[in-house]
Amino acid sequence: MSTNNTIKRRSFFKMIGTGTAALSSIVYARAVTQSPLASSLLPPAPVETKMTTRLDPVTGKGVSILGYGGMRWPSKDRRILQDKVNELIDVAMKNGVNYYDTAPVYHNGQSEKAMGESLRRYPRESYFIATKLSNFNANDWSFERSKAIYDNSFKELGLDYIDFYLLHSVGPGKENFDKRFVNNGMLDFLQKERQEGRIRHLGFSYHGNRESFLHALSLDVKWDFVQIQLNYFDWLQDSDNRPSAEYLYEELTKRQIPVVVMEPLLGGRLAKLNDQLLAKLKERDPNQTPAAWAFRFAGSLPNILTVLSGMTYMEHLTENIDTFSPLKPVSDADKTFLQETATAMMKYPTVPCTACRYCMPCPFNVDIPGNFAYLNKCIENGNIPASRQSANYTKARSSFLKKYSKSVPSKKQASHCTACGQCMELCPQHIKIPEQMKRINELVDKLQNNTL
Amino acid sequence: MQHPARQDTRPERASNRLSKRFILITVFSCSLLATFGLLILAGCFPDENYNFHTRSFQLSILLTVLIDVNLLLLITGSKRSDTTAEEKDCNSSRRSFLTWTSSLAQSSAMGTVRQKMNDSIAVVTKKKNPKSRHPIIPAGAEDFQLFKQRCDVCQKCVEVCPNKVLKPSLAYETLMLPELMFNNSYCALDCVKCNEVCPTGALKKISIEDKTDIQIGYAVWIRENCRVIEDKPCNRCEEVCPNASIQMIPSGRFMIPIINTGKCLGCGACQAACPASPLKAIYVEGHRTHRPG
Repeated sequence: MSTNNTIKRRSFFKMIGTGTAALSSIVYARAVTQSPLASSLLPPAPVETKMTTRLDPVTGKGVSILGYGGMRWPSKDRRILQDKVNELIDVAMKNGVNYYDTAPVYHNGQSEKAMGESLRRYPRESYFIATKLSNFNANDWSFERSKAIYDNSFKELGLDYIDFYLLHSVGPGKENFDKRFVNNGMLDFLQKERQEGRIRHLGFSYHGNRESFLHALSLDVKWDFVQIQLNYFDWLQDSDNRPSAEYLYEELTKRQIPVVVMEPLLGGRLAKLNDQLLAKLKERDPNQTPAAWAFRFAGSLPNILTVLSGMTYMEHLTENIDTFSPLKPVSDADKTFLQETATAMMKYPTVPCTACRYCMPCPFNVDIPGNFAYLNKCIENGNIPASRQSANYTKARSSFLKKYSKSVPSKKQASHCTACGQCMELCPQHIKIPEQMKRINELVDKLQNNTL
Repeated sequence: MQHPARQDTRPERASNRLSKRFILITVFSCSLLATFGLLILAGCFPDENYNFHTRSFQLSILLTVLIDVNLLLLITGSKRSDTTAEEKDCNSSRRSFLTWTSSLAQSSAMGTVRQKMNDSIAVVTKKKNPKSRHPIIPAGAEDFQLFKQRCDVCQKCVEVCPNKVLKPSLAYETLMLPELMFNNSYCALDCVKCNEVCPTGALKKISIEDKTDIQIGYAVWIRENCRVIEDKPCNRCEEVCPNASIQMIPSGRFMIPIINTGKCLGCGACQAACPASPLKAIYVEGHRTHRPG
């Protein structure tokens, strides 16, 4: 009896055991495969970025539509914070950003070094580095001095070749271009370097008038790319010393030269719109930030290789990665809408400063971009009283003066400008800096003396 | 008459069987209840995104299956003592039948429950938990990493905070490190008490004017949680904002708040005032590095 019973029980146990195991595995498998709740059980997926890329015709590799600009790294007391740079570049690399733009002049020469140090931790073929020949100063126009700048870039970056090399800030005129690059033989030298593979792409960055643009393009040089300022504000703005972005883009597209976009946010101004403009954008789409609108506008054009953005904060970087992973192109209706926004922006008499700091340091210690940034902020937010009869004159006056002395220390205020004009040659936006400084100073004077 | 002894015991056995069946049913219903209980328990602890903890959920399923099987084993095992050989045969097949069917029934029932729960969760997950991805730290701290290095968690700032918004963190990585929590009140712009008492310089000494120029974070509006999309017009956040960073704009047939992140200082007044319950419809997202306003 007992033998019989034991066998039955054993089979019974067996059955239960296998049954439970089978069922639990089924339940588990179902939970893993079907349930969205189970995502946390799976190991993290290998990095698969959805970043939109554009094909580089020279190397045949994909360039991420978001490029990292090296002009605005987090810094303290004028020193770049290397840890933060590494942290930002790590996130950027992980999310598919592979174009890194720098120049010898950025951050007083620290940008190349910091970026080189950070990027060297990655395989050389996983990123593109762009740097520039920044021989603005007439002292650097000789071949030796220019070549020294070029050689120094390799030293600072610590790399044996440069993917994208630019003639920095072409623009003030035909003579200037010839003196900087042609007469001293620098352009021939760079083309030779390209043949030898030390440079992979040769191009130029451009801020200037139509004449110098067409002159550079008419030369017998194969330009692999050209970097231009392009955003919805500049798209249709056409003036004598400065052709519209649309014109530049069309000219380059006609010649089949890929375009790299700089200043897609106009020095951050398109990201910080005033309340009226912000309300308009949000009415159209509550989920889009002003920065995303501007980036999408630039990225939607087909002949754009990459859109550069100098992202200081991690939040900027992650937001931009979201915008471009993948890029949702703007429609024609959206483009018209953005043009209306640009027109509305033009009503504010702001200074077109993008805080590139090419004008600095000022021999009289005026903080030029700081003054302009403060003025622009006040103009866009309507914080400048029109006259003494204005409703909130007293309050606006004291607030303007108080915040001015706080934003710009008194030794760096506009009143110290002697109109020497040294900065004007350097300004890629061709701002008449002394005139604007006078304007700020007069406004401050009038407010201080109650004579507005 | 042929089997008097058996006849005698029959009514007894019948009652015995009845009571056993009763026990079986009670135990089964108990185990079923336990199943549901565990499922609900597992579902009752959503993570910060209001997703349900998958691991505990699945563990609970495995546990219930095991418990039920053991229970079955117990019940069927206890019946063993007073049965004949033929009945044993019959019983063992019944046992196996019972085991299989009950296990199947249980798993399918749980499958259904899970399906049901998924459906019901779908509604819940639409609401977003208003929680900053990054701790919000007071103005004057400049940068979170620096703050973490400098602060020695003495809690003096927590004690002195008049609005009781500065609280010690409960997260593992930042345990006891002061952070701002705005669900009940906000960080007053005319108060720098925490900066004054800080003994380590983790919170720099700043003036009240300085404070109005430091962005420690920015407000984020959550459409799903907001009253306005339920046709209950509300502009509390706009009213309370000390910096006029919030404005109401038309969007479809609703008036929705939009935030000027360039102006927003991250004081949390909007979050404290938001009447949406239990999840706020506007909250402050902290900046890793504070920015000049």
